[in-house]
Amino acid sequence: MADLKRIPVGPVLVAAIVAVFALTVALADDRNFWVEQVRNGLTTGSLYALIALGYTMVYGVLRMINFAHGEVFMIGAFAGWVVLTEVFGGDDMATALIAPAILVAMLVAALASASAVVVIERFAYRPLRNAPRLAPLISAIGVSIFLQHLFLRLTDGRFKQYPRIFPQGPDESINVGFTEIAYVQVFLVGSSIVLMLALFLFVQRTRTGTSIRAVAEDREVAALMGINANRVIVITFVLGAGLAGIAGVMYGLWLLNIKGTMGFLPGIKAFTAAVLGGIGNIPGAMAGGFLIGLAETVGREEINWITEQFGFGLGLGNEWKDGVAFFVLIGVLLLRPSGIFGEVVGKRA
Amino acid sequence: MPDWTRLIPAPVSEAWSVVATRAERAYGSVPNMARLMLLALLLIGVPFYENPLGGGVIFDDRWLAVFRLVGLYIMLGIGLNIVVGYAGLLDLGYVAFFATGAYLYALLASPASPAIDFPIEDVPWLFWALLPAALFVGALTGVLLGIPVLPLRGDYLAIVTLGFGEIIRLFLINQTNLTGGSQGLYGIRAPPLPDVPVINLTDLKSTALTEWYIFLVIGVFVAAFCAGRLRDSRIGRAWEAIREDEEVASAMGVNTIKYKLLAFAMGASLGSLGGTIFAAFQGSALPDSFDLLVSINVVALVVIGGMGNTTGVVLGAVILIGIPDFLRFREASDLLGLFDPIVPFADTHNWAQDLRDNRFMVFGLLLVVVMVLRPVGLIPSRRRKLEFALAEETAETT
Amino acid sequence: MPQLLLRNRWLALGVLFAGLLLTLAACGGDDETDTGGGTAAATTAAAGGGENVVTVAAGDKIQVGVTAVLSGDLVALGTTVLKAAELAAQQQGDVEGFEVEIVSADDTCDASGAEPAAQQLLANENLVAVIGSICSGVNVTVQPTYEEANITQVSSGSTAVRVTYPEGRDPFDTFLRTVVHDGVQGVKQAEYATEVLQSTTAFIAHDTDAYGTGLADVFEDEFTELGGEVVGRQGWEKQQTDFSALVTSVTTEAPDLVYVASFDPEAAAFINQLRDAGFAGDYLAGDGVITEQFLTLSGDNAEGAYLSKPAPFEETPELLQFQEDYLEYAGFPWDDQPYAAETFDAYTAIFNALTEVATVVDGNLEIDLDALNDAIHAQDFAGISGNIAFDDHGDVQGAPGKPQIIFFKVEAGEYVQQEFE
Repeated sequence: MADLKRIPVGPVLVAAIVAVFALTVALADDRNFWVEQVRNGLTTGSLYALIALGYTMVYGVLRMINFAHGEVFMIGAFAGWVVLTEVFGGDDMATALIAPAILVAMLVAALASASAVVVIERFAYRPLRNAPRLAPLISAIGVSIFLQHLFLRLTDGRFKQYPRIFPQGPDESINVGFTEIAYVQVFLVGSSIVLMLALFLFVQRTRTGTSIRAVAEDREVAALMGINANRVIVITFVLGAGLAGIAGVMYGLWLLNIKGTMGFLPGIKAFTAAVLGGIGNIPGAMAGGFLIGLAETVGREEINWITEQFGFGLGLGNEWKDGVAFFVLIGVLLLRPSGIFGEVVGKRA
Repeated sequence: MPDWTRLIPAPVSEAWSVVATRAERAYGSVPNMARLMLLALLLIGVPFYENPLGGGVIFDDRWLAVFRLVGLYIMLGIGLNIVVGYAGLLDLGYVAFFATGAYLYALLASPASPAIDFPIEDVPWLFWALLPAALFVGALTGVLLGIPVLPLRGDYLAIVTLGFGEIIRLFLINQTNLTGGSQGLYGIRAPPLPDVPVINLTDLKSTALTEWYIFLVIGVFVAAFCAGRLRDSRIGRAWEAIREDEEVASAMGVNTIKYKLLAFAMGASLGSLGGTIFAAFQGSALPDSFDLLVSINVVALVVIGGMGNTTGVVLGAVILIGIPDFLRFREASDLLGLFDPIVPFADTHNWAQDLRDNRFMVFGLLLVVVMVLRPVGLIPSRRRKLEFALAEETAETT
Repeated sequence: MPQLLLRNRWLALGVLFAGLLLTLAACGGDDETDTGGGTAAATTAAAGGGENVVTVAAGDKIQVGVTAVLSGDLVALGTTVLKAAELAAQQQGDVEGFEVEIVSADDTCDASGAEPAAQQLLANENLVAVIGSICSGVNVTVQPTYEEANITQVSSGSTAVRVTYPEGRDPFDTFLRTVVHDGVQGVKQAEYATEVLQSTTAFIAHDTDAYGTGLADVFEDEFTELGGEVVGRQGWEKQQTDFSALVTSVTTEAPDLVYVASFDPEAAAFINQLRDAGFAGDYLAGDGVITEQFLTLSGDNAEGAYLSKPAPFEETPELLQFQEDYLEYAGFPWDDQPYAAETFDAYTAIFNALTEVATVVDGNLEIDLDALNDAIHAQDFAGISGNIAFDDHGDVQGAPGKPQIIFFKVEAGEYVQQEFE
């Protein structure tokens, strides 16, 4: 019995899932379908991963779920939209300008999201550090609702559209033999990985990063060591928000339609991803994000396929896509609450 | 934390002291129960109060519709108060229980129900039979949903229960062959309510709204009474212990599993009861009515009103549910219009409509402001105030 | 002082409540003007309230209600309808010298908002009819209330079949609509798909709201009956933007036709992703999608898409005039959101009936609600959204011989009408 406990659950689980998947692809009629769903899952997952980092870091230092993080993502998307349409001219911008425009948009979005979160932290969270534990959560919910509807009002409740500047179309893709991977999908996954690596290195190698880890481990002791805990907390928020803001621009470039309420679902899914990977665990959140993206697409279809083989096909279509994340959340918290890769939370200060 | 009661100007608070002392002397000898009955009678009489200046009843159907909704949310709030206020378990998926009760009745009583063909015309008293059933089914659902989340605390519990609520909603929408899908179940005929006897000399015809309103007033009082008794019992004390520190309570021998499940069950049964009543008076059950916003509203009214406290729940419901609906009334515009002379740059008559248009933003802002300024809620129970003061002291000294 | 409040919480609450009652009594009572008949009339807060005659005193206005979604993120939909009604009231003028006033109530397009909005409208003494709601969920909840109050509803946008074909009872006499219901549209769309587009296989995508599911149901049934094969059917929740998984499912099935039953934002995002993924089959959608916003949101990807719309909107001079007037009055184009023209016609139907039925008695205008209802049912005129005539279920009939559903194809960024009987 003791031996069983030593089996690392994470890798074993991953191996099992991969095995089942390989089996499905081997047996299925249409291999392309499965490969394409994997591709889709990774693309969506890259966005969830970026957003999840914000949740996981904030929970690490404050033991608090920033319920309004999804709205921070939304603000970034809108900021990027303003830059691309007002400053660069939207659909009419010169082709040479596209790349720099996107970079500027991302920068501005990161700044906008960061500024928003600084204000939110200062006025809605910090006064409640020592309050009964429901208070910060209710306050966060309030911020979330307020921001969602503020942006709905600013846009008259409609979708705003990103300019279609990123090359997208039936030919704008890389042919990998049996299927196509669109440039935009490569862009999303690639950029996310780069950003996440940058964050990881920052947290592991720099002084500020170390102080973040210190505060996450034990706020009191870190303060005794001379670390300004408040400043570090704000920096943590800012880092997470910056990434979420950039994710917002990426979302806009890919899916084009942005709306005040767009942050709610990705927010919840990203939180699920953070929990899945182990809250407070940065690489865990990254992995979690991709996993949730995969679960929504491939995982769901996998379940459909498996149940079909047994005769009672569940047929969970696209209408259940969002439900998958909730099921995963409940499942993880029931079966392995510390997440696949283990949570990284210290003593609560 | 500032004591906002000090903001009230001295003459007002003095006048209030005088009034309250006199009232206490006059009524102090009357037992609590009698006072409650008096309040209940006062409230029940609301649909019949006439304007002494002529013009008939003051509170006509449109008022009663609002009061009825507020009453429903008070009932839901009392239920959630048991879970959140007494036992300290943050449930953001309360709508699941509400939906259970509603669909329990709707599936049987609606002619549009796909899977069940119940002869509702032959059994018009189904509603009454279903009330205890709703309590039971609700309790069952509460236990079922409570078991998996037993080991969870705080924020995690909140998000998971939110997930449950959303899953239930998706189920209602997608399982069309069982639940009628997003088309919903409609055509639920209102159950026969006992006729309210005429108590006035003039020939007053009471409408269905009057009867529903009175029914809800009675229901709320009964629910509040039961909740109060629960709180003052061994169960309530166990809940308090769990709320304050679960590990210590467990070490002291409190069976946390049993009591947590009990809290879920009691809260859920009230939610379910509310759902059944809702489906009956609305006449329809559509999945849109059972979304996350309902859960958030109920949590908000409990937390803002003051946790662990029935009066707080009432206040919360009046502020969060009553006022937005009241803002539709022309009386609201008139009332706000009284400020016009003070505010030169805007037409305050429009404030009612503007507030309604922006009511979600105001709601969000209100949540933040109330939490930041008064995290225990507006009318917290004495215990809560003490707990919080204690927590603040410890925080300040460290 | 605070201690007293806390100790006598119930007492305090009771006193507070009593105080509030008295204050409100002072303000609330003044507005209630007696329409005659003693105190009994006021308790049933409807001008009709089961009563049959509305008497508008000299100098007062006749009231026509509008129940629509006037707040929240669907506000554009409701405002469109309200503006159309107001414009119509302005243009059509008086009835026997009595002005018509539009009173509105926000039903939030939700079953829970339905009743409060109805009660609010019914509290108006001189209410004779109501335009709305455009949301079927609201109607289904509130039809009994209006029936009891004897107030006729003329909806200009609620298209669910069940609103005029309720289960378990006869259709509501007090409910009519100037917009064609989904049952008609879905059937015609299936015919178009099989006859004109020659589709043998179809993939159905719809939103999980009542509208989308209902329309998809009708299409699926008819398409299968006509011999087509439905190779897949999946839903999406409103507001969804990432359709990659669904698109992959569709391209794998490779159907002849993709049929969409939803509103324009999702449909536009979906067609974008569908075309970007290389799907070359046909795309057919309905009235929820056929807006200018769809074209702007999908750009080039909309080329070759087929869309249908109920009510043949002929470019009559009246329609063109309406478009101009509407833009001037409301500040935005009439077709930004659907149902502006239908609302105008709904008002006209009510107005015509009013002029037929209202009589001046002792300087007051008397309107028999039953007669009004009959007169509305009997209307038959050329409205701007099509011929307005109602069948025994309250559904609009359209002119005999003219198609009720018309089809468009997107060519060079414009909707071009197609021939189809």
